[in-house]
Amino acid sequence: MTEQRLDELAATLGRTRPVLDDIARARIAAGIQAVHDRREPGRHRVRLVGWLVGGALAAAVALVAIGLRPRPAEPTAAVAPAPGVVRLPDGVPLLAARDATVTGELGQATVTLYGRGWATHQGHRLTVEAEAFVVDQPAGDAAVEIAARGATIQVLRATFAVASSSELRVTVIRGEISLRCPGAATTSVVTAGQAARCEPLPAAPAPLLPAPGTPGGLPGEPPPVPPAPATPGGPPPATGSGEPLPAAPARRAAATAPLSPAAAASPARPELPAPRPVDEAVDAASQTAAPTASLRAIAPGAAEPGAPTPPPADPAARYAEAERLMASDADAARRALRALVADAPGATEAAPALLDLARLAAAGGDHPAALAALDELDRHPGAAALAMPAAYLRCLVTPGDAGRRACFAAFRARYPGSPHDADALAWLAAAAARAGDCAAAQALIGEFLERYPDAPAAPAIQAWKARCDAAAAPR
Amino acid sequence: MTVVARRSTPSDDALAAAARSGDASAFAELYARYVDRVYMRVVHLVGPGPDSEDVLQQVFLALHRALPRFRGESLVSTFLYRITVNVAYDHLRRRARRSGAHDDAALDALIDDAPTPEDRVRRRDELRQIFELLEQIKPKKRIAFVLVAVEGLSLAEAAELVGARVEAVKQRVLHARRELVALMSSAEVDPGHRPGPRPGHRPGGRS
Repeated sequence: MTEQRLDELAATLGRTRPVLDDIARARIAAGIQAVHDRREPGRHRVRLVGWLVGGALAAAVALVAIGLRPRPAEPTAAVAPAPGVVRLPDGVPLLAARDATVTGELGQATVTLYGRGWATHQGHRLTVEAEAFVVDQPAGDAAVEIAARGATIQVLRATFAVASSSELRVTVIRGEISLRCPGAATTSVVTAGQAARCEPLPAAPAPLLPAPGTPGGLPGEPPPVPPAPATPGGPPPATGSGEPLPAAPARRAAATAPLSPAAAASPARPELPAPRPVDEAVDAASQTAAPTASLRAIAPGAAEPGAPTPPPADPAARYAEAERLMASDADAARRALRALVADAPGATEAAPALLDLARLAAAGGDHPAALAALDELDRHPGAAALAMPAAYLRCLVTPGDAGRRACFAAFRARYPGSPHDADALAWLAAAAARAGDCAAAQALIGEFLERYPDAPAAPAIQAWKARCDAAAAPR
Repeated sequence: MTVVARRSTPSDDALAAAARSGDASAFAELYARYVDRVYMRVVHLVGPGPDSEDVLQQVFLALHRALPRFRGESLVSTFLYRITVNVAYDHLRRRARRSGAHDDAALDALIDDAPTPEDRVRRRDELRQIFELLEQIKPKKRIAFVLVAVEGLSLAEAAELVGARVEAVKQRVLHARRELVALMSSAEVDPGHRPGPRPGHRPGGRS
């Protein structure tokens, strides 16, 4: 009995088809692209813009912009260190505005900041506050110590990447580092190819200067940074915006430094209209673009009372907010996603936002709008990471039986073994049988029952098989 | 009629060759093509949750580093799955043994076809149980058992992925089954008892 029970447990695990969250899919792709680009630095154009603000006294903060733009042809948002990096003396900070990428040499290490943040150093000790950053120390005999979000990282001739949202993750690309998590008594060695996490992150450290939006703080700027020491004539800190920071944007950004968490997978996404081959009434309804019974209704939300609150500035926070809205107010979710794509087209969240717009349209029965959103996603640099779910959704909203058959067949050929393969195969089998092509249907039915005998569509496919068997029986 | 493929679909070998010569879009296409299957295998091998995403990223970073050495001696998919198994094995060896910490949300994310809430609860419990059991056997046996008994690979296919002889993989699977059955039996006798490591067994040690 126990052996049998073990087999049942193994079968349950074997039936699972875990699906990677779109944000994670795009984030991992962007991270891999960043590693690729670090090995091909000459392939990217660099635009260097200098801007100096300072005063006679050392307390003034000077800003220099270094902008990097990805090649439009790159499939994912490419970020790469600038070849001509700025060397910063002790205490002069490197600054990055949101959606920007900045590189600077701080002591013996090259630091690249991705997104909003800053970095500064004193001798061999660096302090970094950023959504994501890469540290590269290719040579030297003295270890560099980095303090980031309460963790301490020691590096000697190594390259590693750090991403921090709800937890701090360290990925070592070359060499090895020592990592001590916040509050930990021991140090871990992390070598090339390995990753480590510190969880959860402590509350963001108090800013050293007044928070944005408070007297003394400028709204819309990167997180507060330590004041520059008195270095008259020294180079200014570098920031990643391609233009001067806005003095007073129309809306105040959310107060202070806490870096927004990465958007988590949300269960509130509208369900895709699953193909239900046996229920011809439902299938016919899907062809007429009416919502099917399998679609979860998205109830329109009540009108928001009072004045609308301004959206959070950070793309990750905006995407998270849009995901929350999907459960209750499809129109508001659509507006939020559209605004995110318009305001931050280069953000990691922009491509998943376009896919969600397509899903919302499909769930609402607006197939032309879904196709339009998918076409827009196709043209986006981050489209490659979401190619599979986008292709499947396109098949669901393609008009006409013939078009859908061709689409699903091409989808299966391009993404064999995808999480949607069972549904796509079931649809093709039923469509062939419904069209009276039992020869083609039987081949597809046989493949389905062999590969997915326990799938939800199996009983329906069995029914189609019985119908084709009856049609083939000699009279 | 809507055509999905806007361009001809290159083969895996063509993509690998292009990626080897530095074509980032070719590597991105390989990623898009295989990420879901690799993710599924990673989750089966190491369990659901943040670990699986870490391992997934490491797999494709490792592929990126290893592609210059790939000369077409095997299918690209086999090459990638071999890397997947190696990265998962390294991860399991380094990771301290997890003490039943898979939360309901991570397990629920694996269940997409439960017709009733009761069915969902039952499958979630089954997944929790199998992951807890797998956590208590050594990584090599765990991987062999998952590849053969869970994913249904043949011994030869599994041997190719783990880089061992067929007979060695067969013994690992048999020993894994024996240990898992013993663990289940002891849990049935004393449901509150969680068997500790056997004498001589070090989590993360050689197996």
